[in-house]
Amino acid sequence: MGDVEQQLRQMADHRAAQVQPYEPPRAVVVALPVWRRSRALAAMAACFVVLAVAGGWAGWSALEDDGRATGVTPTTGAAPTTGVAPTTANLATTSAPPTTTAPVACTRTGSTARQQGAGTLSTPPRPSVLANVQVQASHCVDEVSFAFLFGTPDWTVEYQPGPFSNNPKGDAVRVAGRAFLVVRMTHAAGADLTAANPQRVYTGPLAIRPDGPSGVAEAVQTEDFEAQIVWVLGLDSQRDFSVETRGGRLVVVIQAVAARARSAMTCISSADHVGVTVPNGWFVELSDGFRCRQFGPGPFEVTRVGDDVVPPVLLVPRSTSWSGRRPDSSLRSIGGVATTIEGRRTMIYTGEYGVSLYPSGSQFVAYEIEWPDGILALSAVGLGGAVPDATRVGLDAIAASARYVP
Amino acid sequence: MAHDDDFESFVLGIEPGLRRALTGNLAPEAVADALAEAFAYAWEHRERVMAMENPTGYLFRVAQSKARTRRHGWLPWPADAQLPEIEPVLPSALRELSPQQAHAVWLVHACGWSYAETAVALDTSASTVGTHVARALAHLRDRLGAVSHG
Repeated sequence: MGDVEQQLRQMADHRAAQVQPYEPPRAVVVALPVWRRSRALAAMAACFVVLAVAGGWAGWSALEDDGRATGVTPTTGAAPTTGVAPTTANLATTSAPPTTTAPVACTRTGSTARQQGAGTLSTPPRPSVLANVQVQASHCVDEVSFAFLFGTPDWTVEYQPGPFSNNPKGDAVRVAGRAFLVVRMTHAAGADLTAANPQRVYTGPLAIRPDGPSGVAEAVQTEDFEAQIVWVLGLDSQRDFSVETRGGRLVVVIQAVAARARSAMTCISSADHVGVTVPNGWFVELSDGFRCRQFGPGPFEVTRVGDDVVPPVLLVPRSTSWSGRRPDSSLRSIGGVATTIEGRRTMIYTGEYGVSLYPSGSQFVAYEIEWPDGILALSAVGLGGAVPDATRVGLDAIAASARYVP
Repeated sequence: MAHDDDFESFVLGIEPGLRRALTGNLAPEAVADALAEAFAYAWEHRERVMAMENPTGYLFRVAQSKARTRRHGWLPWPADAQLPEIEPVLPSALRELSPQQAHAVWLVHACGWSYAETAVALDTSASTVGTHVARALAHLRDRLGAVSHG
């Protein structure tokens, strides 16, 4: 069998061949503008056309005159301030642990006072629809981002004392932490209520408890009712925060305590039995499914737009046996060998993608670390060229710091 | 005003790519309807749509909206299991992706769309598409036990 990409292409080939190609019914098309003067006439037209074209041309009655649902120009997020480049040694030449204890210069912004702002929703009363909730951390800040469809909602964020309850049920809700930021978003819902069959868009957890290097003890949704969504963020202490709108996201940026900025940031994934040191200034994703598996020199969801985008570094344990590892000479070459701080053997591969999703000329660096249950794979790609030096240095540091956590 | 022949050529030119894209998250019987909806919309707004840099991506959004399944994830088809060249675990692995990741990896990998084209289709930025695709691939490779990165 081929690789994942090839299998996807074959699946699409097979599927596309099962669907009858669409052929424009010219006579009907020419008449359409006259019929589309009103929705009632359009519905009649739809019925007629369904009969005439035997099922291939249905549903005109659902057309909207203004095309509002699909007429939004893609938006781009504001470029975030990226962290300080890591300063680690080259993995290939040393087995020393990465120098992640150097101070990180954190720009402190925000306050502990109540903050509020207007969203970008352009066509009220259609609510913003919550699509994703993500927690990530760097040496300087914790970030909780709420991604929305159809624009961001109006918001208010403030510290409030507990206890908290679920609205409208009224059940008591326990949130871990010592200080609580309440994020209240109005004109927002967890489901697209304008759809004929409203279904929940955000299907992720309603309580997120990062076990990584985060000052966010827990994030819990306490309300999704009457076009209002409320999340309570339980923090380890009351800290300054600010709120940013980045594209379709509302991001609560919480300043880390000063001590964390001067110490190494370790991320442990108990499920994967892996612990790594996060390079200075880098972000690590702590959301379910990607916890301690993705790292990058900037927030992942809102990276710089353009050709210089830096995809995150991916760390994935695999069950493949270390023995017999041989590079495929047609695709890759050995970029070096190294050892981790635990003395584990590491094979470094470099190469260039052939036909793939990445732009022509994209190169990759992949590390395969001998691991008790197989290998630990770590990789990054350079879009349209080599992996950026800053990413490569961070990659070295993460690989060198990898240790087995029983 | 665009001539009828121009519109017909336009439809025939982009139909294969759009049909292929829509098979990712629509049932077989729904794809034809979604195509009809999208091209009906395209005719209605043909001056604007035909002048677009990426009409396929735009009409993909139109079709998703009309089908009311815009943010649903990848949808398994019964016939997928009949493909000997597909890892049996791949459909379930695709199903585990978030809707955004499933859309992105399907359009980019299965359909050969560029990041920019996919970004228009998903109403997001190219960089976000890259992030979704990277995550999706990591998950799929992990589930398939793939070793090769290249």
